[in-house]
Amino acid sequence: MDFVHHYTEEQQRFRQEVAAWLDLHLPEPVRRLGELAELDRATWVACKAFQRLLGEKGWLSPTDPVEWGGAGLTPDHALVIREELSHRGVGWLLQEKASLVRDALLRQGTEEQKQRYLPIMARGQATLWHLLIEPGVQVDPEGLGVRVSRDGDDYILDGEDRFVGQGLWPDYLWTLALADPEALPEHATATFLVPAGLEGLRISTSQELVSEEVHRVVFEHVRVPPVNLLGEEVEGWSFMQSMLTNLSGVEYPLEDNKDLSDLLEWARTTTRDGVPIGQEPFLQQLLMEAQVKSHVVRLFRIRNAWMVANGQPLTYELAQTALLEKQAALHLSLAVREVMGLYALLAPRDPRAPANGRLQRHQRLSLTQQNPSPGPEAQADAIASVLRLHEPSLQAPFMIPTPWTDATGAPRVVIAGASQGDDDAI
Amino acid sequence: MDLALTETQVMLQNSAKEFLSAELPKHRVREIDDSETGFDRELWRKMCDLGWASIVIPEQYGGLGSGFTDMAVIFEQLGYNAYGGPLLDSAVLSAQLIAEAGSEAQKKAFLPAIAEGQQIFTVALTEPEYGWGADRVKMKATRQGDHWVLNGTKLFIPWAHIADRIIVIARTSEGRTPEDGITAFVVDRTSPGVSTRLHYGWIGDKLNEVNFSNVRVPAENVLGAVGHAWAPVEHARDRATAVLSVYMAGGAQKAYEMCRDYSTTRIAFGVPIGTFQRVQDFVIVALTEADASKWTAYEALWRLDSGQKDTAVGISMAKAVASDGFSKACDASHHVHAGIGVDLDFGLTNYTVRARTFQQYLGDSIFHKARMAKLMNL
Repeated sequence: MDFVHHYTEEQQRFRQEVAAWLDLHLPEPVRRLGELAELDRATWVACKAFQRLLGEKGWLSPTDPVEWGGAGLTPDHALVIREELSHRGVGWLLQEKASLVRDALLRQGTEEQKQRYLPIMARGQATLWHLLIEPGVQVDPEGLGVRVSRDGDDYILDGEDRFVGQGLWPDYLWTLALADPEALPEHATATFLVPAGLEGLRISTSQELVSEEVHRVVFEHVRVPPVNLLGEEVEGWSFMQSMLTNLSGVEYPLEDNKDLSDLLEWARTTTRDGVPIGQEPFLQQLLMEAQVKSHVVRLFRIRNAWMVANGQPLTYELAQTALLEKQAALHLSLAVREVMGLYALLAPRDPRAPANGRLQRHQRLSLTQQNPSPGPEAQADAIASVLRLHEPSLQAPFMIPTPWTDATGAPRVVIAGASQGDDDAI
Repeated sequence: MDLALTETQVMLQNSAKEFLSAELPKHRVREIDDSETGFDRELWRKMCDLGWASIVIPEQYGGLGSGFTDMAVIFEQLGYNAYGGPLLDSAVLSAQLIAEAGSEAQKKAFLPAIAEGQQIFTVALTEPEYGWGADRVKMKATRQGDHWVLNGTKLFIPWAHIADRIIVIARTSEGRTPEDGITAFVVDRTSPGVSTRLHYGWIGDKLNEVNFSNVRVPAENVLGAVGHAWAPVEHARDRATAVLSVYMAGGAQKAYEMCRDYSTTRIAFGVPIGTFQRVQDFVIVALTEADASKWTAYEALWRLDSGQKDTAVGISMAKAVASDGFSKACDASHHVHAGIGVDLDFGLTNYTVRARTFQQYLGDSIFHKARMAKLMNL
C-alpha cells in the first residue's frame, strides 16, 4: 500500500515552474482575497484578469486538449497546479464547480458547442454559474424553478432558481428547465448555457451567512436562441445526470485543512496562566477529535481517487465522503468556539481577530456547507439507495427466533455451562 | 498512491477467510468463549501451522520477516470472525518487544518458539491504577544478588492463565521522568510466587489478574538494559496497536454487514425495515465507522512498514478511531436489530463484547488522542 501521491522529477520541475510563475504574476489584492474573502468590484476585475492569464497558459483546464483551450497535461500536472494555487490561498480561481459543466460539454456537447464554449471557459473568458446541484445526490424535478416554452426558433425561460458560482457577476448561467411539469423529467427537461446579459434576466445575491456563494436568478420571459441549448431538447435530464456522475473531480486531496491548522497553531501559541491552551485536557481532546475527523475525510477522498484511477466503480463512497465532511465541518466549528471563545467570532476588520478572521468565516461556512442543495440527509438517502436498504432481500426472510430455533429457523445449538455473563445478569 | 493489497496479502487474506469460515462458525466462537480457559489448543495449533504466528518475526529467528500489513490482513479476518486467541499478545506484542530489546541469546531462545506456536507469551503492563502510559507502571522489582525479586499485582493481562511466559514490565528505579527506570523481565508462568486468576465478566478477551509474591527472576531474564525498557515497550505496543486496529475494523465491518442484511430481510408493516430512514441512519453510521476504522488502520500500517514520519501519530489516530468506531458500529447494529441483537445465539454480541473490551486494550481513544496531541507538540 502507499497513501502518498508521488511525482516524477519532470513533474517536480513543473511545480517549480508553476511556483515561479505564480510568484511573479499573482497580484497582491487577489492573493489577499484568499485570506480575507472580502470581494469588491476592483478586486473582482483583478481576479478575472488573473484568471485570463492562467487561461492563456492552459492552466484553468490543464487536462483538456489544446484545441479546446486546455494544456493537454496529465492529471498529475493538474494536481500540481491545484496545489500551488491552493498553497497561495487562491485555489478557488480554478472554478472547479464549473468543471462539471465543462466535462459534460466535452462528453455530450455538439461539435459547435464545444468550439463555442470550451475555449472561452478554458481561457478564463467566461465566469460560469450553475444550478445548485451536488454530485452523488438525486435531484427532485419538483424543485426545478425554471420553465421553458418554445416561441418560433427561440426558447423562452421563466421562473427563478438558486445558482452557485464565484464573483460578483457571471458571463453564463447553466440551468435546467422543465418543458412540461406533468411529464417525466427525462422526457421534458432541457438544459441551457444562458448568456448573463440577456434581457429579462435579473441576478440578486441574497444576504447569506457567507456572501457571494449563492445567487438568486430570476428569468422573466428570457428569450434564448437555439445555439444556447445544450444537447437535444429532451436531453437536459441525462445531461445533468452525466454531470452528477462525473468523476473527473475525484482527485487526490490537498494536504492540509487550513482552518484546522490555524486553530492548532493558535492553541499552541496562546496561553492562559502561562500554559498553552492546547494543553488543557478537555480542549485537547476536542482538537484531536477535529484532527481525526479531518483526516478521515482526507483518507476517504484518497480512497475515492484511487478507486476512480483504478477503474473501480464508486457506489456509496462519494455521498459518504460528503456526509462526513459536513459532520467534520460542524465539529471543527464547535472546537473553534470551545478553544477560542469569543475570539472565534471576530471578523477580519477587528484587530484582535485570530488568523485574520478566517476562523470566523469558518463559523459561517460550516453552516452553509450543510445545505448547498438539499442538506446532509440527501447524502444519507443516496447511500441507503445504493445499498438497496429499501428493497426486500433475495435472502431468506428473517424469522422470529424461538427457544428451539434461531433467526434462520435452524435448531439452536445448546451449550453446556454458563453463557456470556448471564450469572451477573440483573 | 496504491491502496491495493499485494498478491501475497490477497493470498493470505483468502487463506484466512477460508480457514476461519470452516473452523469458526459463530456458535463455535461462543463455545470457545464459554469454555473454562477460553482457549482451543487444537485451533491454535492449526493457526500456527498456517504460519500466522511467524509472520512478523525476523527470518533469522524462525519467522517470515514480513511486514505488519501482511499480519494485519489476517487480523482483519480474525476480527470479522470475532476470534483472536493469544496471537496478538504472543506473536506481535511479545515477539516485537523481544526482537527489539532482547539479547541475541534471548532472541534465539524465545522467538523461534513463538513463531512455531510452541510457546505462548504475553506482556503484563497494566496495574490496578489502569493505564497504558509509563506513569502507570508502579510495580517494583528489586535486585538481590544475581536475581531480581518481583512483588505486586498486574491487572487485565490477556491470556496469562495459559501463557508459558509473561513479560513483566516493572519499575527498578525512580528516574527524572516516568519513562526512566522501567525494566522488562521474562518470567516463567509456573515460577514460584506467580499466580493468575481469570477476570470474570462480560469480557471479549481472556484477561487475568496476575499476582507476584517474591518471584525470583534470574538477571539473564532481563530484556535489554535495566531501567531502559520503556522505548522498546512503546515501540512494540505501537506495532500491536496498529494490528489490533485492523482487527477492530474487521469486527466493525461484520457488525455493519449484519445490520445491512437484517434491514433488508426483516419485514415490518409489510416492508423491509431498511425502508425506514431512522433505520437507514444506523446502517450508515455502522458503514462509516467500519470504513473509517479500516482506512486509518491501513494507513498506519503503511506508515509503519515503509518507515514514514509521524508513524506514531498515525497509529494513535487509528486506535482512537477503532476504539470508538467498533463500539459505535456495534451500537448502531444493535439499534437496527432491536431485541434479536441481544440474543446470544444470534452472534452480534460476539462482536459487541470484543468492541467493549478492545476499546480499552492498548489504550482507549482518550489516551491515544492525548498522545497524538503530545506528538504534534500541542
